[in-house]
Amino acid sequence: MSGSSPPSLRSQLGALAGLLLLLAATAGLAYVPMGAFNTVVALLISLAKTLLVMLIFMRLRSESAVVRLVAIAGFAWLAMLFLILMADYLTRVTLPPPY
Amino acid sequence: MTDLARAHLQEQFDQPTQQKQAATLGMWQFLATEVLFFGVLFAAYTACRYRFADGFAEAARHTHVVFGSIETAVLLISSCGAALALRNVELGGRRVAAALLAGTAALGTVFLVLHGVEYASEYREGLVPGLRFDHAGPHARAVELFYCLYFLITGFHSLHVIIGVVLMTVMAVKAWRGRFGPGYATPLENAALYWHFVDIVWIFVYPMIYLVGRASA
Repeated sequence: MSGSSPPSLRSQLGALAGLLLLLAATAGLAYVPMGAFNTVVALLISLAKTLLVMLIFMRLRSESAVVRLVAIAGFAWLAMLFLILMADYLTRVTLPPPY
Repeated sequence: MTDLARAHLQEQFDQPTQQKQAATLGMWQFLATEVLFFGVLFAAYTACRYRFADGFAEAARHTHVVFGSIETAVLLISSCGAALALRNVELGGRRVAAALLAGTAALGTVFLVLHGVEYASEYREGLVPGLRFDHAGPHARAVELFYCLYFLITGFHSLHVIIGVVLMTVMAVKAWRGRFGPGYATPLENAALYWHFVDIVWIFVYPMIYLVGRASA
C-alpha cells in the first residue's frame, strides 16, 4: 500500500481495451505478407502488451526504484542470453558434411 | 495502520509498510527467475526457428489459431479481473473482490479446457512427437522439432496456469472470508503478480506458436 491510493477503474479497463485491440492487431497483421517484418511487428506488439500489463496491472509505474530495477533485471539477463546466442547462430558458417 | 495490518506483522519487521515492501521485492525477484526459466525455452525456439525457418512456418500453420486467439483474450481478461479484485479489496470491498477472483480462476480453467481440446486434436492429427507423429514431407523433422518445443513451452505454461487457478481460488475464499482489507492484502497482491506474469508469458507464446507463417501460406 505504501501510501499510494488504488488505481482508477478507468486505467484498468483502459489497459484491458488496449490489450484486446493489440491482440486483434497482431492477429490481423500476421496475415499481411511483410516478410521478416511479420516477426518484427509481432514482437513489437507483444512488447507493447507486456508494458501495459507490467505498468498498469502489475503497477510498476507506482513501485519503488528498487522493485523496478529487479523487474528489469530478469529481462536484461534474458537479452544477454539472446545476444550471445544469436551472435553465434547469425555468424555461423554451415560446413557441408565430409561425406 | 489498520488492525489487520498489525495482526499480520512478523517480528523481523518494524512496520507493515516495510514488510509489504519486502514481500513485493521478493515476489519480483521470483518472477525474474521465472523470466529466465521461460526465456531459455524461448531461446531454444529462436535458435531452432532461425535454423529451420521453412519447417517452423509449415508446422505453425497446423496450430489452431482460433483457439490460440480466444485463449489469449481469455487470459488478458482474467488478468484484468485479478487487477480489479485487488483494487476492490483496497477500496474496502469483499464480495465483489471474491467474485472477481472466482471469475479469474474460472477463466483460467476455460483456458486449460481449450488447451486440452487443442492437445486432443493435435493427437488426432498425428502431431505429437514421441506418441503419434505422422507428418511427412521434406520438413518433417523440423515440424517434429517445432511440436517438441510447442508441447514443452505450452505444457510448462499450462502448469503455471494450473498453479495460478489454485492460487486464485484460495485468494477468492480468503477475500470472501474478509482476510484482506485496505491495510493488508499482500498475499493477494503477490498472487495477482504471479497471474499477470503467466499472462505475459502467453503474450509471447501466442505470436511465436500460432502466428508464424500465416502470411506465406
